[in-house]
Amino acid sequence: MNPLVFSLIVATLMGASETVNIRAVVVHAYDSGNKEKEFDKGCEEVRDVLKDLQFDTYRLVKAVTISASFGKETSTRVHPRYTLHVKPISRDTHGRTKVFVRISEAPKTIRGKPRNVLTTTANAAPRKKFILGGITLDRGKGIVVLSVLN
Amino acid sequence: MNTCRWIKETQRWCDGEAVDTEAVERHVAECAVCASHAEAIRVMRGGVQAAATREIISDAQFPAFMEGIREHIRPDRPLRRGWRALTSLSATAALVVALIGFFLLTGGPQDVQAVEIELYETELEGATVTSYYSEDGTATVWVTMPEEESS
Repeated sequence: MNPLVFSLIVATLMGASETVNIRAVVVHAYDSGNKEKEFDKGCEEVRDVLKDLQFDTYRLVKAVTISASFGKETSTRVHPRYTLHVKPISRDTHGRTKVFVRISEAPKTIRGKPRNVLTTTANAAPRKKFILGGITLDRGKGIVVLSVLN
Repeated sequence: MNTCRWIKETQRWCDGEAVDTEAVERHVAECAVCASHAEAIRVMRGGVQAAATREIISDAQFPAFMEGIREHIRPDRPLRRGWRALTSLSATAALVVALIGFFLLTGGPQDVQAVEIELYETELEGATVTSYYSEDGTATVWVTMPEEESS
């Protein structure tokens, strides 16, 4: 086989199988009457982006690193009620990864269907955090802080 | 093949070292072999001398000789090189002007957001979604769910 053709095939296969690691930190934010904002230890890695929100208490629900392949949706249950789905789409010339993200809610009845509570497409630079929030969680809101690691 | 016994003496005679010059001359005049050998030596020495002759440039030839040298060491067509430099300079100036025009018309290179939200939506009836950037540039997509969904 022509070495050039072989190289192209290998490069194509490597590109197709490239995985993107996406860090997802799910936080339960609510007001508990604290005068100062309170973050539990699990929220430290996302504290910098949560500090501007108007809740006074932040508790970690789940932190997970998801390995997702380009063009394939990977799903992770982040709460008994919600599932996070991520699908890397492409990389732009600035090194940002275009990623399709949705948070679906489990059906409330046996015959019900899951619903997409929030769907978004973002171009994210490596390790830059962005927030998907406002999801109802008990007496507060669910916030998902995402960052593409590579 | 030389067969005459006088051949060495003829060689000396050609070199001007003959013991009896007259005797050798008489012999060379009668002997075809020695006469041929003497002639060969004469021709050979004449060729060597011709090759060793030094060319002398006369005073009359000297200006033309120097002009020939100058033609090869003079800067190569300075006028044409000047045009070439001028053309290059003009092209560079045109490129700079074009780039300035481009930046003026387009507002220059656009800032690239670290995170750019392309689209957002929800399937929940009555819910709304907004997107904004905080002061430190953090992109946020926020869904506001209706009261009945909050329970």
